[in-house]
Amino acid sequence: MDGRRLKFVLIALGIAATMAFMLVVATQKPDGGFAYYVTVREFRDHGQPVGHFRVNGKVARGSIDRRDNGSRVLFTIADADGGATLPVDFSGIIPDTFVDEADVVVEGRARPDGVFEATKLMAKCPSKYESKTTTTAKTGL
Amino acid sequence: MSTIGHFALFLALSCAGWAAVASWLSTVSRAKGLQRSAERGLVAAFALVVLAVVALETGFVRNDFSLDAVYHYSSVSQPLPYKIGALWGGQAGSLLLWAFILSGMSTLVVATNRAKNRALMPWVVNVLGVVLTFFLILTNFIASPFATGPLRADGVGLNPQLKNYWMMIHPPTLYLGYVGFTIPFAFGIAALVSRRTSDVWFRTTRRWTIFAWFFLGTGILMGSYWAYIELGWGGYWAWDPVENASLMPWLTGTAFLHSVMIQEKKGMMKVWNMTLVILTFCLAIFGTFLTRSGIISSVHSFATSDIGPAFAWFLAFAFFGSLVMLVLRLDDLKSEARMESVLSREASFLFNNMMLVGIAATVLLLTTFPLISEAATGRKVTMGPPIFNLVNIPWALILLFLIGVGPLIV
Repeated sequence: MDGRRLKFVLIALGIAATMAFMLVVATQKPDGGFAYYVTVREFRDHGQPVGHFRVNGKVARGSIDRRDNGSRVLFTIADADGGATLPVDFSGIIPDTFVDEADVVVEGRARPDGVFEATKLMAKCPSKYESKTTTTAKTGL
Repeated sequence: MSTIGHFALFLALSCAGWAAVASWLSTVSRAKGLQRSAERGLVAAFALVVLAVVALETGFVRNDFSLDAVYHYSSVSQPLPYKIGALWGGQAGSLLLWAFILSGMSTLVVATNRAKNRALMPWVVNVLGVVLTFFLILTNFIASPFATGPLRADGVGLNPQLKNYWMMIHPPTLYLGYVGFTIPFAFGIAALVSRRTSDVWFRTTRRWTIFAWFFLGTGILMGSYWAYIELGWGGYWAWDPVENASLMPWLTGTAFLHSVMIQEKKGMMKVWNMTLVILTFCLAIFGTFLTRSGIISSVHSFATSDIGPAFAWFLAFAFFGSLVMLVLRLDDLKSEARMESVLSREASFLFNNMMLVGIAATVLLLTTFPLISEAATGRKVTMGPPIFNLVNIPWALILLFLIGVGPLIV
C-alpha cells in the first residue's frame, strides 16, 4: 500500500472510529435515551428495577385520573391478559389517543413508592388500529 | 367489486410473473418475440393493477362495507377525499399502492426504452418483473385488499389521527420515492448481469434517481410537518423507527447521486456506486418491512400483519442475490483512475459519501438495536432520541460545512 492510499484509509478509519466512539459515549450517558423495553410483567419480575425503562401495556379501564388541568395524569397499565399491573404518573403533553384500553408505551423510571414516573407517553388508539388478526400475527416473526 | 379486484390482481400477477420469466428466457433463447412479450406483460400488469385500484376506490366511494378495507378505514360520514385516501390507510391498500406505482413506473421504463438499451432491457424487465411479482403475491395471497366480510351498515372509519389533509399527500409522495429507487436498482443489476458496466446504466436512470430522491425527501419533510401538527407523534423528528426507515434510503440515495458523478467523469468508485444503489433499494424494502411487520414498535405503525416473514425472505433474497452478483463482477468494475489527493474533488465526494453512509449505518444500528440486544442478551434495549442526536448532529454539521466547501474545491 503506497502512502497516498494509506492516507485515505487512515481518514476513512478515523471517521468510522469517531462515529463508533461517539456511539459508545452516547449510550453511556445517564438518561441518554438508553432504555430497557419490557412488558408490565417483565418489569414486575425485576423486583427492584434500577435504570431507565420503556414499559408496554394497556391502560386499565377507568383508571385514568387527570390532574392539574390535564397536564398530569395518573393511571394504571396492565398486560394484555390483565395480569400484572403498574401505576403510572405522567406529566406532560397527553396525546389524543390516550384513552381507556389504549396500547401505551411509558418511558421513565420507578419511584421508591412503586409508582412508575414517566417522562414520555406514547399511545395507540385501540379501535382504529388493526387489531384482531394482528395481535397473533405480531408473534409470527 | 371484490370479484373484479380479485381477478384483476390475479391476472396482474400472472402478467408480472410472465414478464420476469420471459425476459430471462429471451437472454438464453434466440426467439425474437420473447422480450417484446415480456415488456407487454409489464404493461398489461399495470393496466390490471389500475383496474384493481379503480375497483377498490369504487368500493370506498360507494360505501361497500362488505369489503374489509372499506369497513376498517372508511365510513358513510367520511368526507370524499378521506374515502379516497383511505385506500392506503391500511396494510393491503398500501401494498396495492406500491404495486400500482411500481407497475406504472415499469410501463414508463418500457415505453421510453423501446429503441434504447436493448442489451440491458431483458434484465431490467426481469428485475422489475420479480419485484412486482413479489408485491402482487402479497396482495393476492397474504394481504388482499379485496378481502370481504359480512354485510355491514357502516364502517369503523379512518383513524382520527390520519384525518388530515396530509394523508392525501404524504403517503403517495413518500411511496413515489421508495418505489422510484427500484428503477436505478434494476438497471444496476442489469448492468452487472449483462456485463455492460459502463456508465450507461446510471446515465439512463439519472432522472429516475433524482425523481425518487426528490419525492422521498419531500415526503420526509411533509411527514415531519404532519408529525409536528399531530399531538403525540413527537414533533418534527423523534427518531421513531418509521421516520428512520424513510431517512436511511434517502441518505444512501443522496450518497449515490453524488458518487455516480465521479464515475461518470473519472470512471472511479464503480463498486461503491453499485453497492450504494443496492443498499438504497434494500433499505427502501427494509423500511417497508420495518413499518409493516411490527417487529419494532412505533407510534406511526398503523398496520401490522403477517407479511413480516415474506418481506424478510424477499429482503434477504434481494440483498444477498445482488451482493453475490456484485462479487462475481468485481473484475468488470476496476477503477480507471486513482484518487489524486486528499483535497481533490473526488476525495471530497468520497468523504461526503462516507459520512452519509456512516449516518445511515448509525441510524440502522440504533433503530434495530432492540432486535440485536434481544438476540444477544435476551433483553430488549431501545435507543432514544438523545443518542441519535448526540451521534448524528456533529456529522450533520460537518456535512453542512462540506456543502459549503465542496463547490469551492472543484
